[in-house]
Amino acid sequence: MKEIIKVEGVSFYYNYGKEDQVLALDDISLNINKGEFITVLGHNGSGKSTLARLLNALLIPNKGKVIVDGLMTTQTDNLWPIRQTVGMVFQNPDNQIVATTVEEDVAFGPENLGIPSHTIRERVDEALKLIGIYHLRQRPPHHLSGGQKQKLAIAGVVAMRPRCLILDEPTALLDPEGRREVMATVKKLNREEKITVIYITHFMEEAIISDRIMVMDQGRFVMEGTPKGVFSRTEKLREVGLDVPQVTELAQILRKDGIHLPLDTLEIEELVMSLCSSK
Amino acid sequence: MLLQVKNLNYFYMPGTPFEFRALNKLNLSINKGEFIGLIGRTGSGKTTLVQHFNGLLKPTEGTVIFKGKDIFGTEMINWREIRQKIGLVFQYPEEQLFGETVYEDVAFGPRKLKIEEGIVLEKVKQALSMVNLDFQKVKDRSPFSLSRGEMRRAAIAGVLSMEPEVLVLDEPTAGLDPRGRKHLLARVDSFHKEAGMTIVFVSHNMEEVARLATRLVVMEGGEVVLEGSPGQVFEESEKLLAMGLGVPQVTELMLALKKQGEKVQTDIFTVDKARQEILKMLKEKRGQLC
Repeated sequence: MKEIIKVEGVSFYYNYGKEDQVLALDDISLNINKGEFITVLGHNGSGKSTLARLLNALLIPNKGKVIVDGLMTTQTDNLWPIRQTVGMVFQNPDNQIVATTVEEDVAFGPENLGIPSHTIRERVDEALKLIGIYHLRQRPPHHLSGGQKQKLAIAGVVAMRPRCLILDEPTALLDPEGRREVMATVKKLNREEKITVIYITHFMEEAIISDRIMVMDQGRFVMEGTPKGVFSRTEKLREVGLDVPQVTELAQILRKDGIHLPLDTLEIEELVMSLCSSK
Repeated sequence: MLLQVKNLNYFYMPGTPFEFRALNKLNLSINKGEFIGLIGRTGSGKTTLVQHFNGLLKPTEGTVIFKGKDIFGTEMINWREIRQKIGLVFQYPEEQLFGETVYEDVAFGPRKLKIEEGIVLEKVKQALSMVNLDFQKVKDRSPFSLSRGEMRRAAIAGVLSMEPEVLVLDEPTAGLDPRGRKHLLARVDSFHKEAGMTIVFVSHNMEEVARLATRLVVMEGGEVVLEGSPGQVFEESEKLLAMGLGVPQVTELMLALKKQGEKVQTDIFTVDKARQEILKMLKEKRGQLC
């Protein structure tokens, strides 16, 4: 089986069946392959977070189905294995920290799985080292920086050994350095540990490292493709309230000025190379 | 000079093992009508500094002078008046909404000034229009039924209704999506340009603040380390990067071009300026070839 998650014709309403029901997802389908890095872009209210919560059975679809590693999210028996397969990291690290030291916080998840304590110790150390916060293990979490706290939240999920990680705007509240730290960590988990990543953001520059970008608007997918493919369609992105990265925009303007540049320039180095070799 | 910070020292938890120096002999002057972009990493002291402006924090040493008056001096200070004139919008101000209706929430401040309800009404109307919320549509709604961006604007209206002379906004765009961010930035620009307010905009996003500010003040470790017009500050882009501050992508591009030996300026932070500079660079290269 190539897919780890299948979303088939899913619709979701908040307050379903009530007078004030709101359609949040409108008949969407998506296959996520093992090891893939998918970025979901869209402005607030486009359905990104609703989608994320459907993928690990925090929400159950009103129509259609979500299948995680062969298990339907509608069956309550499946909830534990599904949530162990698909870990989730939210926007605000302060809401995700439960313990008084870093290592205890990371141990919280495995403890709840009823794992023997020496195995917990191994898993905690492994997760702390993998995320690069082993040296902080005895610190109280509230003394950490924003980026470190968010890495702690990720370590807590990684200690559960999920095969798929969903991150819902994990960098929205961080400063540039914190954002870089978290991005590097997520990239490492995907490339080296082969963990499938579903990354929700509205920072366009962060989407560049993904294999595939899905753009959402009004509860539907409106664009899909590689970063180069999606970012070369500036007009369409602006229509749904999103922007392209500055470098992409600049390359497109320079092309209009008659400078010979590839249409899909995404990274600073690419543009530098093109410009330096330009005659 | 409207607001002057003099030799400000501030320690959190002084005399305990957790003692932490947040501000270190900091000096800063703000003139009427300026738009200051106050930039620095998390923990650099930005929020601590602005909380001294209206006496929410009391300096360990040093003082703040507002309109010639030492607000931490020996003279009796009317704090109500200071806090009306220096409006502070905290991080995530929407978390402080509490009114049953948007009207009640925005009217809370002016009502404390003990003025007629008719005048309160006018102030609320004015404040909501400044943040581009439709008075008729939102006045009777619960603030909690608004979208995140609208909630934030309603919370800012609650400060604007006091008609402050100085408006301090602490990370006002954090957590907003690009659409919400753009909208809010346009409003803040209008507070400065149309309402003539003095603005202090605290941010770690260089890109947004560089376009609006008349002066940038960069903080690190509780000190002001760089100061000047956006152009002047971006001439030190390498320094900014070394401090862990993000510079706009086009600034990074210009730095990379310079590194490759191209003759370009690096004090550039908008796409438009970058375009002009690159066209100039290419033209000169072609000229040499002929």
